Amino acid sequence: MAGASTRRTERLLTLVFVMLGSRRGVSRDRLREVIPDYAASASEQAFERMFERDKESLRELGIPVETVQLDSAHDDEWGYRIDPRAYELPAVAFTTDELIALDIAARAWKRAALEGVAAIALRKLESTGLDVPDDVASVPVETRLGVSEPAFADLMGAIIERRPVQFDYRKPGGDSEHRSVEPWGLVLRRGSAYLVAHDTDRDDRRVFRVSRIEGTIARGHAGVVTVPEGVDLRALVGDGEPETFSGNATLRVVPGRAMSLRRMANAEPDDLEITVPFRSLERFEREVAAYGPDVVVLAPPQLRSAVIRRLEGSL
Amino acid sequence: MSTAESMLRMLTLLPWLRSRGPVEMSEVAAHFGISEDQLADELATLTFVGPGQGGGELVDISYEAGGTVAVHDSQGLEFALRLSTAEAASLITGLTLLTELPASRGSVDAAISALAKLEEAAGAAIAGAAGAVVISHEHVDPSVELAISEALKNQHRLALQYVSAAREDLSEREVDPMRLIVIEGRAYLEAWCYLAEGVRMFRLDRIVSASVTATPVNIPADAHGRDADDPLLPVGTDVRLHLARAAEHITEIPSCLSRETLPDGSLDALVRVADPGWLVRLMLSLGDQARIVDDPELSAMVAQRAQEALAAYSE
Repeated sequence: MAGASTRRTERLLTLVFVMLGSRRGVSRDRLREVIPDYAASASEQAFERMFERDKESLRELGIPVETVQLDSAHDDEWGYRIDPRAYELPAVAFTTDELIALDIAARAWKRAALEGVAAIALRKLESTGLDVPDDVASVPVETRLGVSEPAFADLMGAIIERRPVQFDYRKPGGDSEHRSVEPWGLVLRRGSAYLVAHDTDRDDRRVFRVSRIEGTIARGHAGVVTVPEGVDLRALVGDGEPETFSGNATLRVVPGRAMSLRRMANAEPDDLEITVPFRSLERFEREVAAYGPDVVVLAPPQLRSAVIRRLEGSL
Repeated sequence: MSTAESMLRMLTLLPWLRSRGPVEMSEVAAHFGISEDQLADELATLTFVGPGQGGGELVDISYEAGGTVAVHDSQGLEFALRLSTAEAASLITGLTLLTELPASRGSVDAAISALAKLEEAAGAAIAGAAGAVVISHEHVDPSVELAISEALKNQHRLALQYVSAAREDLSEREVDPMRLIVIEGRAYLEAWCYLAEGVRMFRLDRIVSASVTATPVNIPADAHGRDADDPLLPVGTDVRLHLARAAEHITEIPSCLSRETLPDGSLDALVRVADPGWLVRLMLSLGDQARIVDDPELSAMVAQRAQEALAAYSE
């Protein structure tokens, strides 16, 4: 298998060289002469099939293969070429600081889904005559996106190309179900990746955890999805908890404790009673219960009884 | 590793090496984020391609003493291919992450201008790539970000007020800033801490206030930052938890080492615990949705804390 794929890679690379080197276009006959796999094809149809597939593969890689008329006297005489101007990455005058930023940006994918892709992108930019300075540590910033799910890269591609997608999604508890969605965007929050999408079967907006997507992503046609204007992806992912409440909690807090709650309340470290706004009963109930005897809910009553129930569950 | 990625890398290796003199194999591999073995394979494939199959029209690569490699003739492939959608998107996502780090003012500026130039260079390939991935950070006080940015730039000591994640208490400490790290979805200041007499990571969203002092930093020569690729797994003991479905989100925190779904849909999870206080808070927040499986001492700590809390409610 490895041999076959290396051989195919060699063939595709040779095609690139041959077509890039021809200003006027290379005829099919000529291609069949210079490319050993084409010369060895059993029949005209076998060659045609192989060549069509190869051309398609090159175009999928972003290589601009053009079809040109070779001879005006014979309008069935077609040739193929790659225009260097369409192929070539134009030089961009990045400053040293910008190159360092690009290097940090590429390194953010280390040990993550697009590590190789980001490295190639940066090396391409360098090939236009630039040099990322070696002493990148002079800028004291190091980032890692930490997204290792293979689905992430596929989803990103689908979003950019505005393709609908289908995948199997694992529900809490283990069962998985098939979902058809129009992806709007990806959100990275606290080390987890979320997909915001329109679920076509449910005709509603949904947020998916990318880590719960199983298997491969099936892609639909490009250019189909329209993201509604003014969608705030960040807000849609939010806390990952439904907003079940809107109001304030009054809490009795031991001095010097529960500093995070005090910050939310703009309170001093020695205030005995603080008022904290919250939006998800479930989430806030968990947060308050964690403090144990350091925090006692005075109001509202439904929060107070929920926290008491939760504490009783810990006995 | 996909054939497509390998193809794109090979098409980039030639112009990249051509634009440089001899480069050490290990350095090339590191720059492309692949192993030396894989690099050797891909270079070997490249030596069999060129615009003609006859001698003299193949790519000319030489390996020299000291483990270096050089491309003498790239057979017309002097230029890098335009950025693919995925390549552009990988850099755009990395740069976007940088723009979300105001605690490094210089990086934000460089990332913003690099983004603009990149979008111009990549053109149509990335219409829609900007905004496909958004990054949602915790809120950080702008005055804290400003102070850190200044202190990092001028190499001055910082005075911090910090709320520890493990104990939820407020501490005042002087630190010599080293760098900013974004890892597992959170932004940290890495610094030499005079209180702890060691290198520590401070979550930006837990810094209550930061002020730049007049003292220049004086970081011990043997103080080292963490390797950004090391997981943030604390040193500690591993504790087995039994979780109800409703508490499945616990299996997605960084300190959860493994999970197993049981036939009834509940879960067994192994969690790394550095500070028993942290586990007690976690268990209190989950109530009857979680149970410690085989550590009676920790179970007793949780129950006692819950009892104290309930006593505070009946006062």
